[in-house]
Amino acid sequence: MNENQLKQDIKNSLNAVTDGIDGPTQARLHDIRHQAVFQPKRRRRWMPVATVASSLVLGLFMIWQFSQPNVPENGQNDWLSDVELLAAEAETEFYEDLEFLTWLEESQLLESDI
Amino acid sequence: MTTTAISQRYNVYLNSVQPSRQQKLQDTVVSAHTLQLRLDQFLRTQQKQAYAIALLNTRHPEDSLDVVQEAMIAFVTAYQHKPDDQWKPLFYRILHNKMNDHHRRKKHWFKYFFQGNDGDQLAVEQAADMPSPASRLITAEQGQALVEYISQLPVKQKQVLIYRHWQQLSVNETARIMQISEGSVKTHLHRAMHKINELRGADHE
Repeated sequence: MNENQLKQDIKNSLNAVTDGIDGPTQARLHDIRHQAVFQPKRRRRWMPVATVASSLVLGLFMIWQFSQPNVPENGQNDWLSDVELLAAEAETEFYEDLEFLTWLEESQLLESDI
Repeated sequence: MTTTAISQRYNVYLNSVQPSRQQKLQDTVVSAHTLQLRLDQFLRTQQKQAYAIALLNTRHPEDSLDVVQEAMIAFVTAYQHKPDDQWKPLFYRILHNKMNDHHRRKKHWFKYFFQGNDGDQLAVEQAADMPSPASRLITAEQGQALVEYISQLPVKQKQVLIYRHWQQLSVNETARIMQISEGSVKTHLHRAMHKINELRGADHE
């Protein structure tokens, strides 16, 4: 077969493929094109700037925090003793009952005296 | 935001700037809009062919639409400011790369599920076993087998044939799209034409 004829047949056959594309697919292609041209995805150019800015703020805060003078020793102890009291919640019942235990002990002493 | 609302806001802004800047601003807007219309016109003329090429390569209508969408978005994003006469080879180069990405993703998918070296071969075999939607379209309407022969060609031969004899791209443009040498383009094309002649001859016997 003549090569030029074959080329022409190939072209016609492939053109027929595009002519045979159905309506819904053509509509999808139209939407895809319209979206690509008229509603391109915007690049978030502010994202790297925001990341650098927030890292900078965090870094400055850390530097400021560590450059602060230490809390005075007494203040620290008070704060620690508060924590100890709060942590030893189970023992507070003992202190609440102390009055009762004292009374019990005294009354037993009285009984023994009797 | 609707087009009318954008237009109103634009007019308000336009009136707020100095008269010397108004003309420049309007020129910029008109230029951007003209570019969009030119891009739209260009892609309108290519969209069916791009879809058909993707269909011949992926053999799957939904995948083909995805590939065309990715190619159009990438083209508009990256190359819209290139000269118009470079648009066609650039667009088909992107489409070509997106099709390769698609094949790569499919291969990974098969490898993931089959956990062996047979994944690639299996992907190729499975794709070859599937009926070609493009050939179904045409054979249903015109009874031609030529598209089926084209879809049976090895990937590179098929692509060269499409770019050269359908898209009417030059050897140099085809070589740049496929990132191969001009000599390879000629070799692939020669083999493709020979193979199609063979298949046609076998069918006529």
